[in-house]
Amino acid sequence: MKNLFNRLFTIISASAVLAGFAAQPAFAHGEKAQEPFLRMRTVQWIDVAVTKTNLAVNDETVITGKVHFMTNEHWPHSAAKPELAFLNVSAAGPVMVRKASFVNGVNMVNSAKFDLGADYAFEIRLKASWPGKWHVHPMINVKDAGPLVGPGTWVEVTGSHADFKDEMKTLTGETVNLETYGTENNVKWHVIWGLIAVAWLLWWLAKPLFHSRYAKVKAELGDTLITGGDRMVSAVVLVVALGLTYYGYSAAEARYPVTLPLQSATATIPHSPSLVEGVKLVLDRATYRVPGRAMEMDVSITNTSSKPFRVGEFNTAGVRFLNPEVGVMDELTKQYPSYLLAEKGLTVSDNTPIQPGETRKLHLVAQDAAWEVERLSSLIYDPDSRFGGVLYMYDTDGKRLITEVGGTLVPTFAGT
Amino acid sequence: MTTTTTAQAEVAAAGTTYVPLSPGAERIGRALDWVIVAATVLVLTGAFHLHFMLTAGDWDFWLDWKDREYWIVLSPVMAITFCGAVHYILWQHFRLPFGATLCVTLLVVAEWIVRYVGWHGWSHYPINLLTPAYFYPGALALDAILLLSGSWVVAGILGGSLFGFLFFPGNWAWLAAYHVPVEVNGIVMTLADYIGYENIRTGTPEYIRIIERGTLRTFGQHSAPVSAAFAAFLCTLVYWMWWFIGKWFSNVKYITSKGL
Repeated sequence: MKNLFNRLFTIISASAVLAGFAAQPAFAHGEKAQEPFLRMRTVQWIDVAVTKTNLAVNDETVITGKVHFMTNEHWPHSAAKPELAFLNVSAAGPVMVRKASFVNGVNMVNSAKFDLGADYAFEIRLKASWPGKWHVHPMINVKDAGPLVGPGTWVEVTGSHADFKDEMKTLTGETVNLETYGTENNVKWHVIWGLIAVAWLLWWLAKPLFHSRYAKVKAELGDTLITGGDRMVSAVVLVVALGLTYYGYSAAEARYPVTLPLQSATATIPHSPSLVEGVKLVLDRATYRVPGRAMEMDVSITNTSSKPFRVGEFNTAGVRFLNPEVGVMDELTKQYPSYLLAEKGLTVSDNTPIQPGETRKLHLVAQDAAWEVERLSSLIYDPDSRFGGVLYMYDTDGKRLITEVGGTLVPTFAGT
Repeated sequence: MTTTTTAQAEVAAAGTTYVPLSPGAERIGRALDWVIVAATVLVLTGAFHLHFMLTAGDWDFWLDWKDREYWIVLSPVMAITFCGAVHYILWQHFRLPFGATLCVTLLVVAEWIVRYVGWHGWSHYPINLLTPAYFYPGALALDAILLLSGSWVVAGILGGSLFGFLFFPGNWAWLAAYHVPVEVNGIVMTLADYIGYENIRTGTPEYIRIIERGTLRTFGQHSAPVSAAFAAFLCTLVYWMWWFIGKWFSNVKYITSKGL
């Protein structure tokens, strides 16, 4: 028995040590853990690009792109509408600081109302602060619905944080380092008050505390435990507490005569031209074939534009299923995160151009391991079994037309 | 022949049954004091820090949440809780009046450890964004008033009020610097707002700290004193409530043989 115990102890100890060596830093932020219906049916991220992915500390990079808010038809009932939302960044903390952000040219330091069915162009300027390899996503936080994460890009930062500079001029004319501003004063006041508190505690801790005092208090002699010296020290402490508070407040008012309350405005964003045009789509049936990791859609597409077009891409939750027959490998697509790009992921039953005014029934198959890797396949376990996304059509001039696609989804399992 | 000690004389005067401790027992009692102090510090630090983070939470945590309405009310009201309970235990059983200062000192120490090691050291947030508020002015005043008055009612009215009322001016000494205005691409912000904006917090978007929505701003732009006065009133009530929670926690109940 003892031998068995020793063996078990050795195995557990060795496993713990090995696990420690094998542990890797965590880089992701749980984006794949978000329910598929939230990623597929709320916002669609379009043309997301990062200007620089290799930076030195203090360098800036810009995330740009467009975000399409799905129409009310597809937006999940269980998620709050974007009555108040904020353009955010999902990253490993402040390893890059956000210098500015804009939606349709409006400064997005504040939150704003976004409309369902509308499209918004965004821009986020980030400055490298800490060296490392960081996964950075654009993100929309919707009040009462939570974060809606966009496609992530790896950004590598070199150099030393000690060289990081982050200065700003205030409206009162002072230039401050935002990283360290006021820290010394904060610590000073904490130390001053902390020393007074410790002195007060030591006055009492120097006396016998519990044992003898308890006996006296229970014998109704508690009041004899308070000495004249105790009363004098208490009076001094009271005066010091009031006096130092008054001094600290007055000194701060004199040093900073111009102060504002925390700001709590909201922004108003003008509409930009809709990306959704020139196409009318009706979903006849959609299935998800579990063993094949494939979504199949029967759709009727009507060309309401003036030029013929072909179906080039299905985009949902940041994963792009490209139709290789149409060939949309432009510069933006080449820079797109490869793990979110299914280059041959979309098969269309008929790739001949759909003429203006023509309605054609098509069978589309979006198939790739990304369904599993990005944990989108678990949509078949959602309580409402619906999906959403956008289809890209390309006309004969290379112009892109976008339309929403979504509806109920029927899973098919092995042997069915 | 017997000698009469001061304690024995006091006992005689009071007509009670107090038996003074022998020098040996005094020494053992003093040693036990430090064991109790060490255990109390650990338990109180953990419990109070947990309680405060769950109740005051973000308002105390971030620089850009320390507003002139909710923060001024919420933080002292949530902090005076443990002060009231520990006051009962230390004062009623031991005639020790330092319970409030002990609580807030341990709280601030715990906050600095967590924020410096966890949030600054591991997650790289700047210290100025994480600096905790302190409650020393109100706690020292509360302790002193309990001792000088010897009354939990007076301590609640005067000390509790000061605990709430001194919180904002006491912290303004360091906080004012962050309320200096800056312009950011055509929008006025405070430095606190901008430092919060710059340092990305995935789970704390801007909209959830839009807190100033009420009409306190109509008080001649002096919301903070109004909030502080309200905090003072609430602190009195909460102090008394937690005084009795301290009583509930520190009294031993025995089951009589009849009850078995």
